Amino acid sequence: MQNAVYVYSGYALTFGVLGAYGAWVTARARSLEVDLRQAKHDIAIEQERRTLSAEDVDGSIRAAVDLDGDGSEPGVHGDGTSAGQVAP
Amino acid sequence: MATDACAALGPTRGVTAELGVIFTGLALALGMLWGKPIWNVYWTWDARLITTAVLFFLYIGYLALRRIPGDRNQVARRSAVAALIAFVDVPIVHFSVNWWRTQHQQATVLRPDLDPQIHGTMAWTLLWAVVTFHLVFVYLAARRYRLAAIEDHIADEELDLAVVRRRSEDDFVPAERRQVPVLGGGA
Repeated sequence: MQNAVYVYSGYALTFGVLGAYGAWVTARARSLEVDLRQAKHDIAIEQERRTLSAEDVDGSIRAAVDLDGDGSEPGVHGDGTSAGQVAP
Repeated sequence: MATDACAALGPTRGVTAELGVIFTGLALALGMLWGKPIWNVYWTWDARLITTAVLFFLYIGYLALRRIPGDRNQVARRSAVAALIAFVDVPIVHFSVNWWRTQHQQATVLRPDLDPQIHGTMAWTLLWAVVTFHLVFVYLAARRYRLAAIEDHIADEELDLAVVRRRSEDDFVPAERRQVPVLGGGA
């Protein structure tokens, strides 16, 4: 009877420790897979945002500022041409 | 080149050493549970027990060493050296019962005279346990290895994300506001 306590304690310890470790590894892997998908999604969003902001800089934002800093209208060069145009 | 090969092994990151801590810890704990009814003590300062406990702490030390930050190649190199030094304890554990008079019984299966002294039923039970625990070890190592691979992948992805964000912020800075370093100290 006394020995049975040690035997079953051994079983409980073995299955408990190995089971807990296996469960921890599995749960953490699942959690990190979600993080990984989120990170990939974030990268895609950032790249899209970067592309759009680069287009803005070339287009509407550039057109909305004083291009020459000479006091002329926003989006208009001192020679009267607008953003993207070349002086004749 | 050797360190490149170590780094190329990827996210092994002490996966088997981590399992070594668990299995050696279990061996010590289960040995203590066995020792109490047989020897009437949980622990005694016996050569087999001490060398096994040393192995347990060597595994922990190895994992601690791996956690010290550094270049990937550096970590791989110092971990490999530490593992080679620590492995010296393994044959000492095995031969401890032959080299010293111990409370632990002498070798019964892998004896120096190659004459196993174990009852048939116990031999089959031992064989069954050895095979089963090896399979459990392989399964857990595979799961843990996969987890380490995902952790590495996330670290790379987060680095990529940080680079993308940095470049993205850079795009918003108008050219007029960008600080251009002045060569010669600007005097």
